[in-house]
Order: sequence, then C-alpha cells, then structure tokens
Amino acid sequence: MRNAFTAEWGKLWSLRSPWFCLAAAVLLTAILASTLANDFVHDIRMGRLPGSATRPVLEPLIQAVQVGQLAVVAAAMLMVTSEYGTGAIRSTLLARPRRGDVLLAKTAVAVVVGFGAGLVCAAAGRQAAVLALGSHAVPGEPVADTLRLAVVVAVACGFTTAVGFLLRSGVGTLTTMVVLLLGLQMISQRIGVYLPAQAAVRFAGGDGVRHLLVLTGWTVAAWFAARLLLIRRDA
Amino acid sequence: MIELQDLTKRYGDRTAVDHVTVTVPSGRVTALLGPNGAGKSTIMRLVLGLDRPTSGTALVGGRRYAELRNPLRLVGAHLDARAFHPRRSGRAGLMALARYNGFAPARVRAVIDEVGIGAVAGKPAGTYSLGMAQRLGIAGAMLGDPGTVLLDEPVNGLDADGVRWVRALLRRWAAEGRTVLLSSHLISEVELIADRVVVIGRGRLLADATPAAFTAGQQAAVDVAAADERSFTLLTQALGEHAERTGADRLRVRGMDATTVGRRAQQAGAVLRELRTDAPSLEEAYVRLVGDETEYVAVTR
Repeated sequence: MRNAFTAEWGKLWSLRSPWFCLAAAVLLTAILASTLANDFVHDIRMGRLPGSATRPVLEPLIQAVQVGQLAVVAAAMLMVTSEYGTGAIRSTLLARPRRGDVLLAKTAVAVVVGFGAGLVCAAAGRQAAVLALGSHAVPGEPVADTLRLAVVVAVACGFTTAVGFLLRSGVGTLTTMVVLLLGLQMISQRIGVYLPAQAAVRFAGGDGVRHLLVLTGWTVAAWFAARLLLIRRDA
Repeated sequence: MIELQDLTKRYGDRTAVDHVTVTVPSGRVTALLGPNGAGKSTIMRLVLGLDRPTSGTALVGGRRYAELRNPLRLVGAHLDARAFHPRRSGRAGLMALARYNGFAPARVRAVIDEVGIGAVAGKPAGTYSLGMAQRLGIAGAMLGDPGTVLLDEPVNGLDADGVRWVRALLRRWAAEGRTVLLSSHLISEVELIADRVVVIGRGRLLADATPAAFTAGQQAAVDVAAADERSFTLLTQALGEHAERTGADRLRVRGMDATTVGRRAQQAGAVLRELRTDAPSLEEAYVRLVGDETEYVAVTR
C-alpha cells in the first residue's frame, strides 16, 4: 500500500493543474471571506446595523471555505477523471491490478491533500475576515475552527475520489460535488441535516461530531459503491 | 507462457472474442494477426485483467493477471501509444509505474536510455511524436524486466530505424526465453518478426501455426507472360483451366510447376517473355483465411 500511495502522490504533483487548483482555492477563500466580512461592516457604516454590532469570524469563513473548497475538490477529481479521460487509467491498473489498492491510494492522497489545503484555506480566509471585520470581529476558537474546516475539506476530497470513480467523467463529477456540497444547502433543514452540504456546515460551525458522521457516512457509502463498481467494470 | 482457455468476451450483443483457446509459448515471438476489429486488442485486455471475460480464462504464467501483486516484474505490456497522461512527463509517467511496483528510480533512467527517449523524457508525453510515444510505451513494458511481454501494434508510427529496433528487441527477448506476444494487422511485418502466427477474425481463432506451416498447404503459383498476342492465345489454350488471366499478356497458373508450364508452351509453339515461380506468401494464405471474416468490408462498385 505504501508503494501505491507514493506512486499516486508523485503522480499528483507531477502535473501542473493541482498547483493551480490549490492556489485558486486559497485565493478564492480569502477573497470571499473578505467580501462577506466587508458586507457586514458596510451595513454598519450605512446605519443598517448598530455601531456596536459584532460578527463571529467563523460565519463568513465557513461560507468562504464552502465555496473555496470546490477548487481543492477539482484537484482531487482530476486524479481520477483525467486518467479516465486520457486512458492513463489503463497504465495504472496494469501496474496495480488489485483495483481496491488504487482506489484506496488515490483516496488517501486526496484526503491528505484536502486536509492540508483546508488548513491553508481556513487560515488565509480567517486572516482576511479578521482584517475586514476589524473591531467588529468575534474571534471564536481559531485553532479548533480551522481544524474542523480542514477536516470537512479532507472528507469532501475523499468523497470526490469515490464519486470520480463512480462517474469517471470530469464534468459529471464536478457537477455532482457542487450539488452535494453546495446545492443541498437550499433544502429544508428537516431533511437537509442528513445531507452532506448542511452536515458539513453544521460540523464546521461547532454543532457537534454527529454532523461529521453524516458527512463521513455519505462518503463511506460512495466509496464502497465505487470500489464494487471499479472491481466489476471493464477499465 | 500465456494460456487462453475457451476465452469469450461479449460487449452487449457484440461478441468480440468467441471461444478462443490458444497457448502462447515462451522463447518465441507469437503474433496475433487479424483485420481491424477482429478482437486482437480485446484478447490482450482480457489477458491483462483490464476487461473481465464473459466466460473462459486467460492465464499468464499460470495465474490470473488481476491476482498479481507486483505484476510488472512478471508481465510487461504496451497497449496504446497514448496510455500515458499527456500533460505528465514521460519520466514522471514511468516513475509512477515504477513506484507502484517498488522499483528503484535508477531502473526508470535505465529504460529511458535503452529505448532512446532521453532527450524528451522531461517533456509532457502529449508532445511526443507517435514514434516517441511508442518507445515510451515499450519502456514501460520493459520496466520490470518481465518474462512475458505483450505489445499491441508496436511498430505503428515508427520510422524504418524504429521498426528495425523493435524487431531486434523482440527477437532478443524471445532468444532470452521470454514469452513475446504482439498484435498486428500488417502481414509483412508479422512475416518478418514472428515464429508463430495466431490468426483471429471476428473474434474467432482461424489458425495457429508457424508462418511456414501456414503457407505449406498452398501450392506455389507460376506467373507466365507471352511474347506476343499469338503466343498468348496458344498458351491460354495449352494451359486450359489451370490458368487465370492477370494482365494483357499475362497468366497465373496453379497446380503446375514452372517446368511443366514451359514444356506445354514449347509443345504449343508459344514464345515466352517471362516464366517465374511465385512462392506462396503469408499474405495470400491470410487473405484466403480472413476473407469472409472481416468485420468491415468495403463495398467495391
């Protein structure tokens, strides 16, 4: 398994696209966090909110990461779908015909990269939000907040690997992930709490580990479905 | 050794491989020969565990490829000149294969030098010419110094130098006792490279023999040309149904050797311009064999 992980890790960084994706993710998160925080300050300036109003940094930060993570998700997706798109998957499966190993290695790389990128995105977004909110910022728990967001991004990336193997197409995978991680936010809470988007936001907001279990549950289900199909299907 | 036992593969209602039983021995170059769409590539994909057989088995060295832990040590394959990620460098692509099987980076450098792509190894594989891409693929196949090698149309896109190089490489591998299986739709190429020819048409096994045995069943034909029109008429009468007109003054004769044809011509008083024995070719044997097994037949009007 170590060989498989090293191979997939090397493969990821030997392309340029993941670097672009990660840079885009950090930038996007910081800009969004800053913009959302600015809106709040703007409302105070316009007198729509009292001058003493404050806002937890975590609020704009979660929204910013929720969108910014999609660029990290794109990097995780490319590890799978670009191989199907180019035919490189055949080389991979020739090198490791035990296909479960390939899925596991790619998932592990995606989760590790997702966690690291999540940390950087969350930290950058927090700085941007703090800066924009100024004296109106409620700092919360910087370390715990950042770690929770990184965990959310890591799980989202693992989820993406599984969906990538299920759908094998880049467009399909990205669309599905946008719906799962963002679109389902709109659904009524009664059902929404059991779906990935709201579970991720609630866990990140410190609403409890049970929301992380919901997100992970979806991921694990998709992962085993992907494993079953990957082993059964012709490459 | 590669063993196919009653191997069958259907995609939907199309049968790509139809109950094929063949043993590919070691120490020989075996060629899978057949028209486009005959099922050659599918057979390779089944052997390599990329596709699952509908029924039957395909074993490499007595085991299913899908069960091998570090397969590149035992089996090397080059299926498609574009099997490497186009935006990853050739070196990085080979490195990934090497890492999966626990080979040292030095091995990657060695195969890059051996196939002669050192100058482009750091560039994206998508920028390679077809010939370079073939060499990269062959480098991937030889990475683990395997005892069995499968190559799908390895000389496509190679220049004359490259073709000679592949031929020499395959011969050397066979001489070293390895199992070498290549596929080709080029009869002339197969005639030069292969010790053994396995002919496939519409997924079915049509022949499995040495090139010599393959053509042995055929009689040599005799080509004869008359010197003038009168001689041609006399010659046609003298040879009767054995002859088939192939040109203005030219006949192709079967079931008779050149001496007999010459004697008949002499007796008839026909003057000849040319008389020659045409050795039976693999191509002719192949065309006769595959003739009605071609999946895509061009309609001639």
